[in-house]
Amino acid sequence: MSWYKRIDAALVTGLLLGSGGVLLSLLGNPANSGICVSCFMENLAGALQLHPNVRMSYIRPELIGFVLGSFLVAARTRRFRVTGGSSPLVRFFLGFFIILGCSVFIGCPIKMLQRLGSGDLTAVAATLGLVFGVWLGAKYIRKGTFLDREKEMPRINGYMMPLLALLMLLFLLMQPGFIRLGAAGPAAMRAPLLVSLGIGLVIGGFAQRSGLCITGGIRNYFLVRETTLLSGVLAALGSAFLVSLATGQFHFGMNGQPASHLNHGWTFLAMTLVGLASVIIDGCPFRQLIKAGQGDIDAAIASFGMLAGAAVAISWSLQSTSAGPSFGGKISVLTGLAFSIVVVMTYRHRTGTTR
Amino acid sequence: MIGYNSMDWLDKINITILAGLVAVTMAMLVQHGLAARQHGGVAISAEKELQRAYREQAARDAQLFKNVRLLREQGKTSQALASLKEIMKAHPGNPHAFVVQARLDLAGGSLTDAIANFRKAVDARPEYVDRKTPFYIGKEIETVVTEALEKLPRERKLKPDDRNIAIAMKNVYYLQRRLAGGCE
Repeated sequence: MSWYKRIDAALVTGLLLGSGGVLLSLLGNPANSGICVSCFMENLAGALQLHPNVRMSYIRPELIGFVLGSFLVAARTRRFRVTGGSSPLVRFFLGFFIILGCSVFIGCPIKMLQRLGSGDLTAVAATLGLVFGVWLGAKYIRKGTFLDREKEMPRINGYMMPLLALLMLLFLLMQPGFIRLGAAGPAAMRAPLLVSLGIGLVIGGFAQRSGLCITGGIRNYFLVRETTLLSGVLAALGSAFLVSLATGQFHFGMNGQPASHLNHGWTFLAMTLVGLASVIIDGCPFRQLIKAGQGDIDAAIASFGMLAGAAVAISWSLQSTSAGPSFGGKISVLTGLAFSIVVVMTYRHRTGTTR
Repeated sequence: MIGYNSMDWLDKINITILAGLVAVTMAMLVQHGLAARQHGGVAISAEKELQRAYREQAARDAQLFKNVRLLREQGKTSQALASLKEIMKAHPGNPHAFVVQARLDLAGGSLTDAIANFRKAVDARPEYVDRKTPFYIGKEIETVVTEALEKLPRERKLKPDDRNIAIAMKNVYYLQRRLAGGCE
């Protein structure tokens, strides 16, 4: 694909992500949380009864849409390539810690952009933390850190995630007894199912086409001053700002922001963890889902790590509340950062050319 | 893909078993779905059940604290407070006691105590700021928060070292964030 087509695709994906998130909030999703992969993973874990908080239990159709949209476009454009086998357990635990970091900030990088675009100044520390984490990751890449290469795998592996997404859709529609959907709290804040699914599918399809990734866009800029994906990230921020303003959801300031807290130091550290770990596994939480849909088994393993992290975050009360981060949340951020540093040290290729 | 004619006997058995398994699973799912629909739908009835439980609890709370409310409305704040303390002894851990206490604090002119008790109430029962439940008292809390946001910063300027005002401001901002909603 030529560069101008890619920049268009990244821009369109960014515009869809930013405006779609704000619109989903307007249509019923929690405030400033129209699209949030970490929150939605926590909801999914609850719906599957992997944690006990019924207020955080729902199968978000947007998640299903991301995976299926990516799969459909990849299959149609012959970009469905089944690869995997690159340090699966390391990816699992990095995905796990990414969600723990997100839960201390209360949001993934996409929600961070939405919060920033809606005037939430508590997201400034998160943005600085994420950029710092990605910058660190880029430095490690330059110094020779990268995970081992993936291999081609039998095609059936690639169909697993789209099939699981379809199964989740079936569970959502049929609501068997073992699926628990909350009737109060954030779980009950839902945009209409078809709208959520439709927006998820469209964004999933465009994200597959463009390769848009919040941390990837920043990483590419730090590594090679390449701005294609970064333009999509900025488009997401800009469109979130404009649509928030147009729909009366813009509230500028530090206080009174939905699902936020004022512990900026821990927010910074938590998003540093998210940025660094995302660079190591080559993609933010959203990108992991998109890649899982297009046949990337390593991303699917990271997604399962994210689901496990989401379950643990709620079960062990590691997530922050409006009162601030919990003790367990702080420990999990520090542990995640330590784990990430051990990984980058272990995978550093010191011999040969110095990058 | 291989054609049926080019399959060996093992492939053919596998395909037959697979078709049988899919058919039986689908039949069981359809039958289960029909049975659930006859009973009003599993999830729908669970949601209705929860809403019914919420309504019943709200009615029990209203009945339990009725005397305190009546005394407060008659302006007998100290008697209302004594009655509330008795109820709290007999029914410890009822989150509605914090709401009743906050209303008494307001009647007694103590805004900071009211704010602190509303915070305790929301922490103990998040449904107080959830529009979809009968417990919702978000508008009432919002009114108190708005009043506090007007008064407390002025008081803080006059008494910058007063720790109680600083704590009250923290509680106000906390309630403001909870009222704003979000994924929490």
